[in-house]
Amino acid sequence: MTELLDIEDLRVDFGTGREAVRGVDLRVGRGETVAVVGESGCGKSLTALALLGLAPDGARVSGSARLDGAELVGLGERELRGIRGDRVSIIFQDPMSSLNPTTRVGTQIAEMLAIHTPMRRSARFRAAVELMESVGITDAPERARQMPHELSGGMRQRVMISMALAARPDLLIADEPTTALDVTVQAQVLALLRERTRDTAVLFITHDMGVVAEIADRVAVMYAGRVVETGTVREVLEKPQHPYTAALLRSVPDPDRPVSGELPSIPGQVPAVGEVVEGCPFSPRCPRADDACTTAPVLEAGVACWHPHTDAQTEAGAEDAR
Amino acid sequence: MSELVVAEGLVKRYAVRGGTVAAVDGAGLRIEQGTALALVGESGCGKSTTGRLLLGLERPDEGTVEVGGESVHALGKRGLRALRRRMQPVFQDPYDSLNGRMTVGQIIAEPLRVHRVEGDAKAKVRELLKTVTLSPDLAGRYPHELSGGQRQRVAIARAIALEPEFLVCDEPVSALDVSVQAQVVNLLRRLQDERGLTYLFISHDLALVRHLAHRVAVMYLGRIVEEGDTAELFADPRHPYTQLLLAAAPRPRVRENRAPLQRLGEAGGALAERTGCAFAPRCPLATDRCRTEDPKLRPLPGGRSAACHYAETAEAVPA
Repeated sequence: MTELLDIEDLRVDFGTGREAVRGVDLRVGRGETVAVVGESGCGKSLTALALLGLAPDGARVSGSARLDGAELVGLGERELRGIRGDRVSIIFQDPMSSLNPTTRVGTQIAEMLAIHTPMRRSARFRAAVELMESVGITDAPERARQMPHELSGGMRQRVMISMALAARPDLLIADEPTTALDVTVQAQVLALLRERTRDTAVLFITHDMGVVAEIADRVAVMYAGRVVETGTVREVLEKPQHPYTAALLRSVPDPDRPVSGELPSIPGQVPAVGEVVEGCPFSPRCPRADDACTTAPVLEAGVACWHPHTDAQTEAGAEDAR
Repeated sequence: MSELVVAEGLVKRYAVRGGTVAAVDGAGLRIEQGTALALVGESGCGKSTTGRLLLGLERPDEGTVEVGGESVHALGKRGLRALRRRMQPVFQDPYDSLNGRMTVGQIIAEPLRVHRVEGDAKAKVRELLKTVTLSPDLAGRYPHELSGGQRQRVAIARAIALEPEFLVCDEPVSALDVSVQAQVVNLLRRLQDERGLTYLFISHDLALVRHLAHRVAVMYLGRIVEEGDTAELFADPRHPYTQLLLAAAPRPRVRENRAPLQRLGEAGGALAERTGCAFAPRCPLATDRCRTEDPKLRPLPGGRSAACHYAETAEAVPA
């Protein structure tokens, strides 16, 4: 079976020497949720935006991204606009950036239905209310008549999800959709996404390993514009191979497992976007780095590292950290 | 040990269309000298406003704040200025709180200048930079030349320049990357150990709180609904809201069963008036009594307190 989304050697650069995405390979199957996780500037959002022609001005996108076999890279704005919102939907961290602040919420959903469905005008507003009910918004008939600012952040994100899924897209791109929400609201929005995307491929961008654990089937960990590790959610969270993944997981505080003494941290900081690092980009911060790491490792068997953790080492390392 | 910070019955109302709402609605806090109290809750619960009331940056409509025996809101200008030397804020976003036109050295030296501290300011700045594990060479740089983690260290260096006793840290690491968060948290802990600082640590991140705080106060719609020793509160939360909050916190581990938590709901805004328990509309355990009778924060065994009629038996999250 071919994957629904097949990204190969995707690159985004902002002029010579300022490459922000440096050859990303990533596949998303039908009905599968793949989380792309990494820290700021790692290129995770840019990878997703570049697929849809939404990378910022001045960005040059190269490589390949095929949706159901059809190449996306190099398409013109008109063709991409036809794909966005139809075969591919996207939701962002801040729903206010996608909603019109001066139009009633229900009217905005109805307008979207007018574009993407053959529904008659008279039926659209009622369908909008039903869509709002379907994503768990209480008092939907009243809420549909309100302006976006009158809704809570959680409700606005529910509205965005209802709009994104109404066109029955093949692929949903979710870019940090719960980052601005409180934890109790986040838990509900993640549950909603999980339940409503059983048959939809989802590319889920996040910085939060806790969110990854809740939502992902598979995970790709990005660092400095590259995928450094990929695997099932269980493999990556329970047996991380890349020293960065292992260190990142250790530095996430866990409410059930307090550590005595210092929290494990990663020395140094992530390289700036486009900063050129010779060899493995993590090597300046990596406890395992040696001469071999002056040559950049390629992603093989799920990890891009010359000295990956094996099972036994990961467990020993985890013990050390406690 | 003695209490450095004592706040009682704090009320802060804001005007809204058609009346007022209380962002803080009868909150009290006590912080022992040299300890960290975490104030946790979701957006709009009043935790940041409480922090500002404690610092004297806002005036409460009711209630009192004492820091080191001085009544913050009864002091005149001069008295408050003297007290401000003893308590300092660290805010979430060092982009906003650092003046972009000043060098790092000027930023850190500013409180010394304003409070007319004598001595070699330059030497002091270098020493402070070292204390927050930054290179003294950064003194000539501007905030935009630094990373987020470096900027937050600069903000901390400025906050401790006057050798205060009490720091109010309002989401001090939530704008930072995870790998850098841990560095800053470790720094805050080390400063506390070395200098005997007292912290109010305002946060929405329960995992961080567990690591940093000695005691935790949980706030919901303007009031403290539970307070207690950190380890004990995490092990056995007694208020249904605390129970839900803990259950909803994401863990970096795959759960066997990703069943959603039922009935979490969402907090409305600050309240204009209370009838019964403010959490009752979201509480899976609410009874008629909860909808009519407002539960007061009351002591439970083990130095805990909770504002729930059923705190002794409440189990809002199925095990």
